Amino acid sequence: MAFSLPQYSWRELWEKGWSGFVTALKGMRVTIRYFFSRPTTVVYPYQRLELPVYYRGRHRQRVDANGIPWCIACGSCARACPLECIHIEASANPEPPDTKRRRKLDRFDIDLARCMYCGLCAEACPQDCLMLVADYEYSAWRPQDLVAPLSVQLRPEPLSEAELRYRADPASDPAPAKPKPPREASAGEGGEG
Amino acid sequence: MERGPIESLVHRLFAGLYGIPVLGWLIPIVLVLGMVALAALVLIWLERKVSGHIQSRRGPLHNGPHGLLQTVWDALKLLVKEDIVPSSADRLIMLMAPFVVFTPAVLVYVVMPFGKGWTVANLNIGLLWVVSVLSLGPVGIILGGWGSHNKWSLLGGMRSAAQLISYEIPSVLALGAIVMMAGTMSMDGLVAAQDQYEFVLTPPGLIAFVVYLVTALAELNRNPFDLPEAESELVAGFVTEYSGFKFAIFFLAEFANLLALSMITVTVFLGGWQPPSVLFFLPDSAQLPGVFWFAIKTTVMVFVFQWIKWTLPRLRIDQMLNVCWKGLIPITLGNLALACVWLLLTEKSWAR
Amino acid sequence: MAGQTQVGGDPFEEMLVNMGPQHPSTHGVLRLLIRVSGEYVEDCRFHIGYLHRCHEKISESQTYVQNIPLSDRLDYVGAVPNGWAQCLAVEKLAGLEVPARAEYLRVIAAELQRIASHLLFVGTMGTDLGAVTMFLFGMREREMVIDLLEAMSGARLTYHYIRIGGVARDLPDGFAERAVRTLDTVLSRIPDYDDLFTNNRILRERAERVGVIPAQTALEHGFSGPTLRASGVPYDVRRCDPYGIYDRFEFDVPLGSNGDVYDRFTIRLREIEQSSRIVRQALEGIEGVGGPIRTPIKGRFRPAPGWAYAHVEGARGDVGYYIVSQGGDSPYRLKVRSPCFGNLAGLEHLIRGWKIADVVAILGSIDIVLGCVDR
Repeated sequence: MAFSLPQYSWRELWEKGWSGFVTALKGMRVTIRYFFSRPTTVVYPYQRLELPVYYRGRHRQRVDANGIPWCIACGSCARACPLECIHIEASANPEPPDTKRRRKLDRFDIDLARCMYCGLCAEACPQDCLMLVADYEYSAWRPQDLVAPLSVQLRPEPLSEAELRYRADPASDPAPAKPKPPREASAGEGGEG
Repeated sequence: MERGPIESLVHRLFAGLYGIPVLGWLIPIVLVLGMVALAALVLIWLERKVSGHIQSRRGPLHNGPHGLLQTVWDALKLLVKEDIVPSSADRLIMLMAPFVVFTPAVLVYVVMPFGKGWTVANLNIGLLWVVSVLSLGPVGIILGGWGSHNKWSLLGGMRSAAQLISYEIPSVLALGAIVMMAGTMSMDGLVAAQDQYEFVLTPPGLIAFVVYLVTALAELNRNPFDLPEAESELVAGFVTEYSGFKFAIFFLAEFANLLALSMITVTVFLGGWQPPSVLFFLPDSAQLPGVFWFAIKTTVMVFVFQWIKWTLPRLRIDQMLNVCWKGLIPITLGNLALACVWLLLTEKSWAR
Repeated sequence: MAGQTQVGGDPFEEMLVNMGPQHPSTHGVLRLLIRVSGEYVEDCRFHIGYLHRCHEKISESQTYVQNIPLSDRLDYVGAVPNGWAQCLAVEKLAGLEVPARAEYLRVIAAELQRIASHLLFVGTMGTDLGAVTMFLFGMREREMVIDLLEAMSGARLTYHYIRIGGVARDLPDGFAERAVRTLDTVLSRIPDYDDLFTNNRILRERAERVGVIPAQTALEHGFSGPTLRASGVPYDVRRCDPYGIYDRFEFDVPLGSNGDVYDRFTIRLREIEQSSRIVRQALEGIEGVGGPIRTPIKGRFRPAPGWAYAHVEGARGDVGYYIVSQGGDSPYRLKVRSPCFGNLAGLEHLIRGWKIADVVAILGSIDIVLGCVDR
């Protein structure tokens, strides 16, 4: 294969050289301006960005006043999950807290290392119990340590004002239906599986 | 010849002892080596800070005040790292390469006038020494590129060879114009010749200054001429296979070179340790010692080099050679003629 | 460690160099086997598949709804249009109507995504050509646009925003003002890019008349998106086969003339401006449009047997989804027409004869994402 270098006249070379000099100075003007302007970065462990409350981080289960999750062990979330990373085992509850929660969770593990945080499980939850919260700091040394059991998923504190705008409160509704956030009318994938 | 304070002190102590001023050599060597190592650590920190702030980042922040100790920890980490040598590499050449790069970078400081009389050895061919010693550095890069037995390293070494051959010529020609105007090659003499005004304020000096900046960037392997390392093209160029201590030496040499070239630029074009002539209105009582002016000017030059590096994209190899052979060499040759005209106009004799 | 021993040719003249999959500028895990003579590339072979994740096969075993988040993983820096194409195909298959408000939201998300993706391209083009500052500048502005997408969807990279029959969630309060403010900032930085990079003589030397793809060649090889438009072919799915409500918006399709690296670079800068125009119009248009944002799916989602093909204009080109249903829960066959694969496939012999540095520039200029190439 034959290669040839482009040939330039002296005039072209001069124009190229001069414009190279001038545009380099222009570029340096830009960089020196940013050198003296404020950095835009956030010093992460000391400062944090504010995430929206509906940010899809790790999973949480909402609990009632007695600390029992609203979960009815229906398994919708496990069926909705594309990656099958939710494992549920339940048994009959001898003393159900209400008519809906007749089954008690024995095991509710979410493999956070496998999860892709699509949020389909939270959308499938008929109780609006399972949710994804803006918590992203749960690194572990081994993948198996990322399997979150039910005990670490419980969220005893009530929802904040901002969160309530996007999630209905099951406690306020004796028979909680699908939540209806302000402008999100009748969203839902239906119970597929 | 004036003796510097260090030299004269040692001479008084040891002059005549075997006829060799042993301590007179040893102390400056230790001082210069220590200064180079310390300055390189600070310069690496400065580079990271400058690049960070130019890019709207913050740079190192957590170790020491404003991350000043970050480089120290990085250097320690490099020193305790495993030294990996590829099985098919030429071990001796690969080991030699960082030191071949590092030695000239330190040797340059021998003739550097840090202040009034603060010169380790005031050679009368000081500038020639600088130019010849600095041109040895790329030999180490070629050695490293060959010895690593890696094709990316080899390409980096070859690019470095092309760059060396090309950019020494305009560099020397640019300095030649200054030598003509000063009438001396001694570094002290060059500073002394700028006692009225700096050479950068004369037309041939300005052209030579700009050209020398460009060639210095090429000698330093910095953007827009960082082709031997060219991260996005050659992985890491000639340092691809280096790790640990040897890599640290390469790194140290790079920043020792940066400092050396800044100092040379300051000495040759910006009046060395003398206060800037534009500040002639300053009373003598307000004058700083020469070494402070030298340090200030050097810091500014280092900043300019870093500023350019973090602004410009990289040239291609043929464009780089075009810039040199078709651009810089004609300019510097014309500049030599301009320097002659300037000398005639200002009625300066060739030899003082 | 690079390459094997020399094959063919003069062993003293030629060298076989293995560029990738760990090379810093192959944009992921592309492997190029290049035979170089000095710096010149004599021959080049692409080896893909290092990021193959069986997207199409996995899709055959999951439900239609579960397939949607996977589409974000194809072209992960321009995720929204992938989901749109897939949802469009499924909606065609099932005959679903999309509410008017959702259409606007889809346009806003997709155009913001295009801006974010092109800003990343501007940055990576900078690193490929050695201007690292440009990379950080591109990332800085992209981050601001990503913040908008995060406010819309609740994620920063794999948004899972566009769903079958609508979108995931409505705009948060004050989004319109915030978006307009951000877009103003982004556009106000483009003159800085011009001074720093676009008009720089070194960039022009590196990019102009380098890697020229003639229009005819580009069409023959199935190029699409900005890569094709840089060669002067006015093919934009938003114009040629309007989907969603793109026919309501006023925007230009920037065209290049030479088809070189420089055109492919500047055309994306101009597309950022056009996309922000569309976002502004959509933000105005959505004001008066209320109503639901998603058509509910009743019961199990089982489209009738048949097939559907839908394509949209992604950030890198024409993203197409071909879905065959046999009436079950999951598609019988799902085929992705990925723009990056088309753009990459034709490039193999176009980079012969250029230098190693140009290979990096040309490869960077078509803006490949290996997740999209390998699927």
